[in-house]
Amino acid sequence: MAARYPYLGAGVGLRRPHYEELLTCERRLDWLEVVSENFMCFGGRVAQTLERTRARFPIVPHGVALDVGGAEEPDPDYLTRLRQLAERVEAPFVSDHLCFTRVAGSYSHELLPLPFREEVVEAVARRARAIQEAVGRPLLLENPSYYVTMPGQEMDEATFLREIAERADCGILLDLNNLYVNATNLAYDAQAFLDALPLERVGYVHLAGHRVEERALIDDHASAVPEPVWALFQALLERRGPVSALVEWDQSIPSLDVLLDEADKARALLEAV
Amino acid sequence: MSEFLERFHAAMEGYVWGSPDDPQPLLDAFPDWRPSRERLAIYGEFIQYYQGECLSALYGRTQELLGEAAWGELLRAYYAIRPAHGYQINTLGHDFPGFVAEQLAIPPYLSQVALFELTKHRVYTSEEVHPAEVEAPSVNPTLQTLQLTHQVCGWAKAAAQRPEPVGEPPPEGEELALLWRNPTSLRANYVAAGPRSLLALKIALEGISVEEAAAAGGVEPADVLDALHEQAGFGLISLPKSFPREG
Repeated sequence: MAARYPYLGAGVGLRRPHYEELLTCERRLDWLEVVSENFMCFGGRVAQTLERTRARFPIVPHGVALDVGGAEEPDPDYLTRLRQLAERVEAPFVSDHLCFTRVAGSYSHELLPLPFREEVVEAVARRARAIQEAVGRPLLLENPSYYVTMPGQEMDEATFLREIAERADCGILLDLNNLYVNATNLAYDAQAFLDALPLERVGYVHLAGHRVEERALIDDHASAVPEPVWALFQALLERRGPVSALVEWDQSIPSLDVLLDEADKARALLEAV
Repeated sequence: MSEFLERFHAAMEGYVWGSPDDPQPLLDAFPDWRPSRERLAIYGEFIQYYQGECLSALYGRTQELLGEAAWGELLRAYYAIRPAHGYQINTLGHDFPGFVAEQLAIPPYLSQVALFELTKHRVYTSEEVHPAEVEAPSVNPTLQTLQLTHQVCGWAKAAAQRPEPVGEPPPEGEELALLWRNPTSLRANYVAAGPRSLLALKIALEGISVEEAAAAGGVEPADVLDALHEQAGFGLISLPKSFPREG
């Protein structure tokens, strides 16, 4: 399983304000994650940026529109382009979210939570297998943040994720900020969640920040990784051993130095295991 | 699909596309389901936020001309036509200029500005590949032309020089706008077509010689060459490396 999800070290998400600086930056950075849809369909400067950054760093495509849990089958054009992107950057694997995003044929561009039900497990597992075949790479599904449990729940989230990963024989992208946000908002035990997962299938983790609102913690990727999320990372490392880690920061994007400080912190924890 | 999932997706359709500001119809579809109403509302807020952000990024000048209140109203009306057909989020803006043109209460220059902004984006992100070498004068493969009822190109260039939002709309008047991606800088260029750009395009498209073009236009071949090299410098056309500099 480890060979399927090679260890990449500590990386960050590639975001526009850092495109140029990353090409000459001398600080250590082990890998980059790119939002698949932002690089699948565009030429020009976008394509040039991808090519240049790939020359310096390993790249993993991370999508937001695969729609693995939607009412419709995945778009064949999407899968073709995702395969081409993965081939172009020689990605070891690709990732997306365990959610649905298309609603009645139109894209909401939001990661909508699925009902935790057996029929959904079956449908998503079948689809994830087909996607891995079509893309020619292992697929890692991310636990999304969610603010309510959808109707008709038959199992808990950890069981839902585990069953899909095992039946699809796919990987897990474990977002530890999402885990913290969900566990807090929906009052479950994050440590028990970790214990219930097949951790050998965790190909990498996301580390990110959230904001506190009265109604809920909101997964906004707009701040530094908070201590409780670092603590979950440490707890995972104690159970799983070193695993590739990726710092996500998508809004109020800081300087590259600040972002790389976060990656350094993740690497220090990885190297201490 | 099971009866449950059909009901679930139908209820989500009603919420996401019908009443994103009000989750009550979704709640009504599942009487035994008791989620936090204010948390459920987060999804409607996010969907509208993302789509609004995308349209603001694509149509910044259109938004400035319209003003915040009218822009917000327009987006709500646009959202109702479910424009997000594609997995890439920017595609949700592709129907916007046409939608703006159909709004009777909106001045016609706004659809012209919106069309210009969309075309600029498409040129910038075009998947066309610029050839490293050409054997004859060739048109930039990313070139798009727009026949506009307002003079948008000069207006947009002037606006780009100023930090503040645009105030005045583009002046009335027919304009053939040329938009292309510069093969060196990879930026989107645009200009109202003029005699020199049209001459360069004609030569590249029709494969006529410099001498033929000069004779047809009643000018010296050197003038034609000068126009070709000028337009090649702008990236509108490409010339072979061996192409003569002087007649």
